[in-house]
Amino acid sequence: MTAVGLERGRADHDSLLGETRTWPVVVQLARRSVVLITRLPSAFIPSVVFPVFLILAFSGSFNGLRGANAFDNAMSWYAPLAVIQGAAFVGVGAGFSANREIESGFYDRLLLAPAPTVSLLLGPALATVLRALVPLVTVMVVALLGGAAVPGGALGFATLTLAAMGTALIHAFWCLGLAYRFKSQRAAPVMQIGVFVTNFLATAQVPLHLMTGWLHSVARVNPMTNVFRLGRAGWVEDVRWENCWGGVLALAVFISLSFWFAWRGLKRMIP
Amino acid sequence: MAASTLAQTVALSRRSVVNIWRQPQVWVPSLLFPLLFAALNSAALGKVPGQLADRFGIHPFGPNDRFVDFLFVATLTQGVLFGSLSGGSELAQDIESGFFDRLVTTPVARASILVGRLAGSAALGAVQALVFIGIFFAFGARVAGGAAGALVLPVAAALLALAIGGLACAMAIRTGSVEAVQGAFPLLFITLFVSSAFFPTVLMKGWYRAVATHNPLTYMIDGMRHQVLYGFDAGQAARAVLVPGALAALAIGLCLVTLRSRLASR
Repeated sequence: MTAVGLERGRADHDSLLGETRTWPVVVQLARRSVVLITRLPSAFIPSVVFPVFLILAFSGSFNGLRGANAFDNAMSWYAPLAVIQGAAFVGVGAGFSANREIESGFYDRLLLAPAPTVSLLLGPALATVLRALVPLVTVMVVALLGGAAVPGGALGFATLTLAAMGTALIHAFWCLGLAYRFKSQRAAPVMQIGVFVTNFLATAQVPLHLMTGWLHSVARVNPMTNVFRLGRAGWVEDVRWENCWGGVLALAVFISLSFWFAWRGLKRMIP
Repeated sequence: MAASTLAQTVALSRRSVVNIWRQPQVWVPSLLFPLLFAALNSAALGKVPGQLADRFGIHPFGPNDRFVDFLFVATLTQGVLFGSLSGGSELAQDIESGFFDRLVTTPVARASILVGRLAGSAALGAVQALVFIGIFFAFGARVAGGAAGALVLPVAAALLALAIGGLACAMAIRTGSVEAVQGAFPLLFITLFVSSAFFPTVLMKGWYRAVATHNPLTYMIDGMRHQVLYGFDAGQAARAVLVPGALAALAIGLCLVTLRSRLASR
């Protein structure tokens, strides 16, 4: 293509871009991603099955920790872990999808489309929030059927939903950022390991006072400890602001940072 | 002919072991992840035995109330379970690449194809057990059963590796797909979790406790753990060895039936 042709193409692209609004593109991209749940169930089912297994396995195996003053109700303690872990894996799924589409060449077409660039991030983000509702609701139902108590009532469900959605967004943006940089499925293990490292080096399994040595030191400063505290705020006792603000702050900071990471990666991909 | 079969088996076993050794990505994760999991769990749950002893006077984690001792066998079992899948994956890889078909067109004894693969799994299991014993010893774990008790661990580990490797090979022969063999990983994870590996069954409750108590892995793990926590006991040692031994016999039988069926359908 000549320089004049390239300039004309850019001008056409910019004029079309001026006519395209962000929100409808975001909704369509999110819709496409949600529809993929039925078209590619094998990619989504693990993010529902794994949290259900997690809550059953942890509450069953570590039920005896009640005697060690860890918690009163194992289901109530581990339900937020399973919900947040499930949401994190839904976020990782956004990175997997981006990897797949970058490798298949579909992402190049998306980048060439006259759509606002930010919609390429906000679309998967909206889809992540919608998709994260499935493991959230499933695990909550399993937990309640399994005998979980929610002393915080409706507010307890709300704080857990907030913690789960925030975590899903952090992992979605982080994994999109990785996908834009690696541009291949080789990034998948890095994306998955991120979930395990951030969650299990926090109060995922047991409260801080039961931990010893290096894990206690790490978990004390790990922001995910605050997110778990927010998620469990209404599940282990009544919701109190002092149990919530740290988590809300951690989510706000890390959503912003991960968004910035993804945005920078996306900008580098634009021709 | 017998000597020839033996020579073939030795050659294929050697190939299997060398094959695993040359691919660190196959055996390193099954060494590293259980150790990471052990480091995490011992820091997270290290206080629990002492708290239960102080509050209720019970010692479900052994007479010394040391979580690291309790975790020893769990880590070993976890590593062996996950590492043993590699034998099946390698066989599936041979089938996918066409090597298996070339092998069966040669006058090689059919059993030696399987024995060769399974020997690789068993060797990896035994070596893993020795590595874990060394690392746990370095971190202060002790085997109360002494040398006799310590010997039970690699033997049980090798038999378990044979059992899981056998099942993985049967899957490989049946499906011819590496992905299908790797798909067994979550099942192994669930089987391990719903056992006495990470927490004593006496502290569990309800249906979970019932399933964990009757899980064959629990019988094996408790037998091995007895050697570590309480001392050598012949009955418990037999339990630790016979359960994976019986599973291995079943798995090898299944493997042979699947192989015969695959060869008959050609």
